[in-house]
Parts: sequence; C-alpha cells; structure tokens
Amino acid sequence: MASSQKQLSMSFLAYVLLMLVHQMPCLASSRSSSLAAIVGASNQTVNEEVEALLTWKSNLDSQSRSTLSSWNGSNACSWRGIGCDPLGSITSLNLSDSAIRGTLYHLNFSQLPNLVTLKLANNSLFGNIPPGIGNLTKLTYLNMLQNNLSGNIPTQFWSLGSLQILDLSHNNLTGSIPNQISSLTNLSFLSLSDNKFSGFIPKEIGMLKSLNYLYLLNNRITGPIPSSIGNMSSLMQLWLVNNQLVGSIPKEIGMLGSLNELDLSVNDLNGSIPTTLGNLSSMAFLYFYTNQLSGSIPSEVGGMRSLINFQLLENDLTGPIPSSIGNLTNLNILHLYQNKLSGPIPKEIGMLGSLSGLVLMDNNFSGLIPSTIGNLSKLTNLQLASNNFVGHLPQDICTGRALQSFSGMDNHFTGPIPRGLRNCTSLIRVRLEDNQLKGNISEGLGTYPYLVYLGLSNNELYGELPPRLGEYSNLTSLNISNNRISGVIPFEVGNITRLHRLDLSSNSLVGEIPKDLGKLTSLLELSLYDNHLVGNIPQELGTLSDLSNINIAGNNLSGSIPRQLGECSNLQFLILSRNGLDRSIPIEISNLQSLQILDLSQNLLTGEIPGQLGLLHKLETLNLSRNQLSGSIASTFDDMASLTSIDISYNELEGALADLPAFRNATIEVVRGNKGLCGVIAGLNPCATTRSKGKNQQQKAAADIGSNFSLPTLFVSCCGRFEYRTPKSKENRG
Amino acid sequence: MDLGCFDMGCISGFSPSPSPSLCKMGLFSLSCLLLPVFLSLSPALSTNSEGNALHALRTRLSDPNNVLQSWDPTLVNPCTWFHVTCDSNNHVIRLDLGNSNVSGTLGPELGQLKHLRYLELYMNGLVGKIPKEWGNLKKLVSMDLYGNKLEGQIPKAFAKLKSLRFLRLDNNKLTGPIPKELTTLSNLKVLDVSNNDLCGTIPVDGPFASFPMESFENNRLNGPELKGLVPYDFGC
Repeated sequence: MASSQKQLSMSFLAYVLLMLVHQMPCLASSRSSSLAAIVGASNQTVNEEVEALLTWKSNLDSQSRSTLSSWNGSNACSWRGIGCDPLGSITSLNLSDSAIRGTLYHLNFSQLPNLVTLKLANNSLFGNIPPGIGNLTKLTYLNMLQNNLSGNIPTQFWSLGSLQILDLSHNNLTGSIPNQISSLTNLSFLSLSDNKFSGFIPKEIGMLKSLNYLYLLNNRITGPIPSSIGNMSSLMQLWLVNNQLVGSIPKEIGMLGSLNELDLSVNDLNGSIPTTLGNLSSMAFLYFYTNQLSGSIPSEVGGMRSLINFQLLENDLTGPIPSSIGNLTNLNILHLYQNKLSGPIPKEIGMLGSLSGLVLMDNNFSGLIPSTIGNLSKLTNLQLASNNFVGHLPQDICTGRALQSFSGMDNHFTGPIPRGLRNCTSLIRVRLEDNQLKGNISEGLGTYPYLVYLGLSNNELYGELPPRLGEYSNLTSLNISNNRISGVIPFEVGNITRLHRLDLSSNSLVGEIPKDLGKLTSLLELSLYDNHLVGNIPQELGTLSDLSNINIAGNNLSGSIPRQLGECSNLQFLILSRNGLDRSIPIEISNLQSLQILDLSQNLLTGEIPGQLGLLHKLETLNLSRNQLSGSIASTFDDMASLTSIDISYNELEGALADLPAFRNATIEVVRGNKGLCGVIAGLNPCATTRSKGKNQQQKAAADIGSNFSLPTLFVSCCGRFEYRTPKSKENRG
Repeated sequence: MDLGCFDMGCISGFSPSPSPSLCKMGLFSLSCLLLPVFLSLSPALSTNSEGNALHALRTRLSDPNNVLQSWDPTLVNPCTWFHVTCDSNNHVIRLDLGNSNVSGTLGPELGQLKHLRYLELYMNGLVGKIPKEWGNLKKLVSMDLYGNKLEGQIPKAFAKLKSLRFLRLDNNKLTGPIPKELTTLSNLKVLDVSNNDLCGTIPVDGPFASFPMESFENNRLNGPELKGLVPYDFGC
C-alpha cells in the first residue's frame, strides 16, 4: 500500500510538472522552479522524517531494532507501522503491541510535522514524555496506554490543539491535570486512568465542550469534583472511580443530558445525592459505591428512566427506598447494601420487570416483604440479609425459575420456607439462617440439582429430613443445625458426594449414624452433636481422609471408639464427649498427627490412657474427664510441649502426674476425683517416690477436696470455632 | 455474615475488567467504546479486604486438587469458604491448608488478616521467602510452614508475633541465623527449625531455654550461645 501511494504521488507530481511546462512556457521557468522548490521541499521533509525515525530506532534496544528491521532505506512509507499521505509525508505511526523498549527522548517530533496519528500502546516505553511532542500540531489521535512512562506531562503537551483522542492510561505518570487542559478544545476521548496523577481536577475541565468520554480512574486525584463539570455538554461517560475526591457531588451533574455512565465510586465523597440526577434521562450505569454519602436517596432518582445498573453500596445513606423506584422499568441491578437505609421495601418494587439483582443486606430495613416481589420473574440474586425484616418470606418467590442466590439470613422472618422455593430448581445458594422460620422442612424443600450451599440453621424448622437430599448432587455445604428436626438421618445423605460440610447439630435426630456417610469422600466437617443418636460410631468414617472436624458429642452413642478413626489423617478436632462410649481408647488415635483437640469426656471409657497419645505433638487440648480410665499417666506424655489444656478429672487414675507444662499451671479441678494421683498441683498429695509406672506401687490417695460439680465443659462447635459455654445454648452465627 | 452475591456479583468493580483502555488495539470505533459498558456487568472482587487478601494468595498458588474451589471472591466475605474459619464478627481466624498439594510462592497479603490465629500451610510445595509482613499478625497463635521448600531467612519481624505459641518451620531450605529477637516471644512453647540450612548460634534466652535440641538439628548452627564464651553470632 505504501509503495503504490509513493508511486502515485510521484506520478502526480510528474504530471503536474509536465502540464505546467507545456501550457505556460513564459511562466514555466518560474513556475517549474517553484514546483521544483515544492518537490524539493517535500523531499527535504521526507528526508527529515526518515532521519527522525532512524535516529529513534538506533536508540532503542536490540530486540526493538530487530522488530523494526523493515526500517531501513529512504522509503519510510513502506516501513512497518508507518502510514503516509499522497505526498509521501508520514501521517501515522502505529507500533502498538510491538514490544518496543526504549524512551521517546531521541524521537525528534519537530521532524514529523504531518503526524496525525501516533499509536504506541502496550510497549515498554519508559522515561518522560518529551516537551518536543508539542511540535505535533496536527496530531489528532495519541495512544500510549500500557507503558512505563513516568514523570509529569510537559506543559508543551497542552498546545496540541488538534487532539481528539488522548489515551495515556496504565503508565506511571505523575503531576496534576493542569488548567491548560482547556486548550484541547477538540478533545472527545480522554483517558489518564491507572497512573499516579495527583492534585485537583481543574475547573477549566468544564470548557471541554466536545468531550464525550472522561476516564480518570485509579489515580491519586484529590479535591472536589468541580461544578463546572456541568458545562461539559457532550459528556457521555465519566469515570472517576478510585481516587481521593472529597466534597459533595455537584448538583450541576444534572445538566449533563447525554451522560449514560457515571462512576464516582471508591472516593471520599460526602453530602447528599443531588436531586438533579432526576434530569439524567440517558443515565444507564450509576455507581456511587464506597464513599461517605449521607442523607436519603432522593425520590427524583425515579426520573432516570434509562437506568440499568444502580449501585450505592457502602455509604452512610439513611431513609427509605423511594417509591418512585418503580419507574425504573429498565433496572437490572439495584445494590444498596451496607448503608443505614430504613423503612420497608416499597411495593412498587414489583414493577421492575427487568430486575435481576436486588441486594439490600446490612441495612436497617424493616417491615414485611411486599408480595409484589413475586412479580420479579427475572430475579436471579435476592439478598435481604442482616436487616430487621419481619413477617413471612415472600411465598411467590422464584416465579420465573431464575432465582439462583437467595439470602434472608439474620432477620426476624417467621412462617414457613416459601412455597415458591419448592419448585425453584435454579437455586445455587440459599441462606435463611438466624430467623424464626417455622415449618416442615420436608414440605419446604424440593429438588435442586445445582444447589451448592444450603443454610437453614438457627430457626424453628421441624419434621424429618427428606431422602431427596441425596439428589443434591452439587451440594457442598448443608447446615440445618439448631432447629427442631426429628426422625433419622436418611442414608441417602451419603449420596451427596460433593459434601464438604455437614452440620445437623442441636436437633432431635434419632436412630443411628448411617454407615453411608463413609461415602462422603470430600467431607471436611461432620457435626452431629446434641441430638439423640444411638448405636455405634460407624467405622466407615475412617475412609474419610480429608475429614478435619468430627463433633458428635451429646448423643447416646455406644460401643467402642472405632480404631479406623486413626486413618483420618487430617483430623484436627475429635469431640466425642457426652455419650456412652465404652472400652478403651484405641491406640490408633495416636496416628492423628494433626490432632489439636481431643475431647472424649463424659463417656464410659475404660482401660489405660495409651502412652502413644504422647506422640500427638500438635495436641493442644486433651479432655478425658469423667470416664473410668485406670492406670497411670505414661512418661511419654512428658514431651507434649504443645499441650496447654488437659483434664483427667473423675477417672480412676493413679500414679504420678506427667511432667507436663500443662500440669504445672493447672488447678485441682483437672485432676480431682481419681484413685490415687500424686504430683505438684496444690491440693494433690506430693508423690512419695520418683515417678512410678503401672499399678504396682502403692500410692497415697489424693485428698478429695469438696465436691463442687459445676465444672466448665470444653465445648467445641463445628467449623473449628471453640468457646467455653454451657451446652444447648444458641449457636453463634457466622 | 456471609451473604452470597452469587450471580451478578456484589459489585461491579473498578478493576480489573471495566477499563475502557481495553480498546488498546487502537481501533477507535463506537463498538470499542461501548465495550466497557457491557463489562460493567461482570462480577469483580468484593470490597472485603480479608477476602481479597486470601484471593491474592489463591492467585499465587497452583492447586491441582482444587481445594480452593470454594474461594469465590464475589462473596461478601470469605467466611463460608472451605479451609477458612471466621469468628462471630466475620473476621478470619484460621487458614487450614496443611497437606493440600498446593505450590507456589507466599505473598505479603496474609499479613493483613489482623485476627488470624492459626496459619497452617505445612507439607505443601511452597517456595520462595517467608514474607516479613507476616510479622503483623498480632493475634497469631500458631504458624506451621514445615515440610515445604521455603528459602531465605526467618524474618526478624516475627519478634512482633507476641501471641505466638507454636512456630514450626522445620524441613525447609531456610538460611541465615535464628533471629535473636525471637527470644522476646514469651508465649512461644514450641519452636522447630530442624532440617534447614540455618547458621550462627542458637539463642538461649527467654523461651529458648526450654526448647529441646531436636528443634535445631540438621542445620549448620554453631551450637548454643554460651554467654561470655561464644557470643551470639549476628551474621553468618
């Protein structure tokens, strides 16, 4: 293309010359000499351009020079990235994405007077933008985004009055935007994003009447948004997100009739949302999130008829959602979470037929959820958590079978699980924890092939767990703890092969722990504590090599602790307390090298404490109290440096206490009620001789001090949290 | 209170996607300018800083067993992520990734988890240095990095880990001295730095008085500091 242009230009010149020489003999001599001068001049310009580019090339690194291997000879219009006009003068230089490494210092811009387009995006240019760039008087398009350019933009830059498109984003540029920016009167696109610009936005920016797109995001710009912004009558998109802007949003924003995208998020803006927003009839994407805006959402927002996405989250907004919100029939996303909004959800919300995301959590909303929410057939994401909502959950939810994520947790909802959820096969995530829902769980739940998370804990749900739970093939987390569920654990639960977390604690479950739970190969946490389960602990649990927490305390389990539990090599918490487990502690427990908490208290365990337990070098808490353990404590316990809490009270132990750091600071409570322990704890008899092993030695019986039975029980809840509290209290949420 | 903002994400982020500068191919056309308009709808990171810190760790790690699959950065907080435990205020208190077949480097971001108590990354394929920023973990009770391929020195900044009880760095490729500053950690009950490439003298003050010699074996250590005879070796 370049060479044919060159031929064309040469032919043209030749033709002109011939014509003039032929037609005007008397003037031919002077005319031809001036033509010769023009051709000579253009030749000179071309030579200078070639020289400028070759000089620049020679100062780039070797990799860049080989990329520019076509840059030799004198016919620059044929070189890579070079575009010329019909006279053979360089008008465009496009080397974007060319791995050019070097500076612009050796590019003599004054030798490229006809350059209209300069594209050097996505290279490794570094150093400053040289002042000489001001010589490119014809430049309309300048794109140097994604380089390592640094320093301030030189003042000469702002005399590039022809510029229409300017993109310097993703560099390391510093300094502030000067008031001379107003001289770029033809500018329609300006991006300085992702740099280190600081200082204020000059009020002169308001003079850029042609500007359509202004992107200043991800910088360190401070000061207020100037009210002159209202004069930028062509502005369509304004992105100032992630700076340090202060002050309030100027009401003059309402003058920008063409504005369709406004993002002022992640700044330090305060004050109220201006009512003039209502004039912005083209506004489609409005983001003011993560600021300190206060006051109410003005009812004028209903005037933004084109609004698609409206995000005011993480501010200090108060007051209600205005009912005029119902006018926003194009609204797709409404995110108001983490504010101090109050009042009820207006019934007009039902008019938002396009709404897919309604996220209101973490506010002070109250009242009943309007039934019109059932009209929102496109709703995929409904987040109402952490408010003061009362009454029943909307029954006609999920009318469009589109609802994927639904959370109402941490409110005062009563009544049943909404009937609309029964057939809501699109569900992926449901969180209704921490309410007062009362209903039959089997009637409330349908079949959910995509469900990943189901949280219903801390409610008053009753009835029995439905076997169809086994069909929830994608379920990873099932938490129904602290309800009034009765009946057995269906063996079908063993079919939920992706299950990582199973928490059915604090209910009224009966029957045995199904062996089929051994099929849950992904299981990390098993919490069944505080139920009425009977029978043995299934040895099949030993196949669950990822299991890290087992808490089945507070049941009526019997039989021995299966030695197969020693194969759960990642086990960190093993809590089997308050059952009827008997026989001895299997030595295989000592294989659990990750064990941190072992609580076997309040059972019927007999035999000796296996000395191998001393191999548990990460064990921090050991509670064997209230059993029938006999014998003495092996010396292998002496080395358990990590053990900080131990309780062996109320057994039939005798002999010397181990020389454990955990015993050195202990009180009598953790050792009392045994057969004949001796040691250095106050209240215990000191040992007569050096430490003995076995039952051969006669030891003096430990003095029995009082019989005060209000011993605190180490109570460990699921998911690794543990706190001292009395059993049966309400589970903390989280 | 984790509340999934699952589908459309909780927020439409300012980074990484919706940068209009994606029009970097230089094609200035109307469709190019409308591109960021549609990208505004894509889910991005939550504004929860603890979740973002964990997500930053995830981006550094290679995870063939998919143990981090539940780490969805669009959720409001990381408290329902597996291998993460939060307290009742939704602050991360435990990170349990021991023996998870993850590899890659550690970054400074975890140092922001102000309430972290247990940091369990043992027996993986972690390489690179231990970030000194982890010295900011004021509430940390246990740090288990044993059984990796970590190199560089034990950060002096770990002297700020005033709650630390268990520090297990054994079986790595750590070099340099055992920082004498660690003698100020009065709660330290277990220290294991065996099977590394450490040099210099073993401190004897404070908690170091009770650590058994096995905690230091298989290094290039000169032996314990003998006051007045073999002073602490500050460099090696």
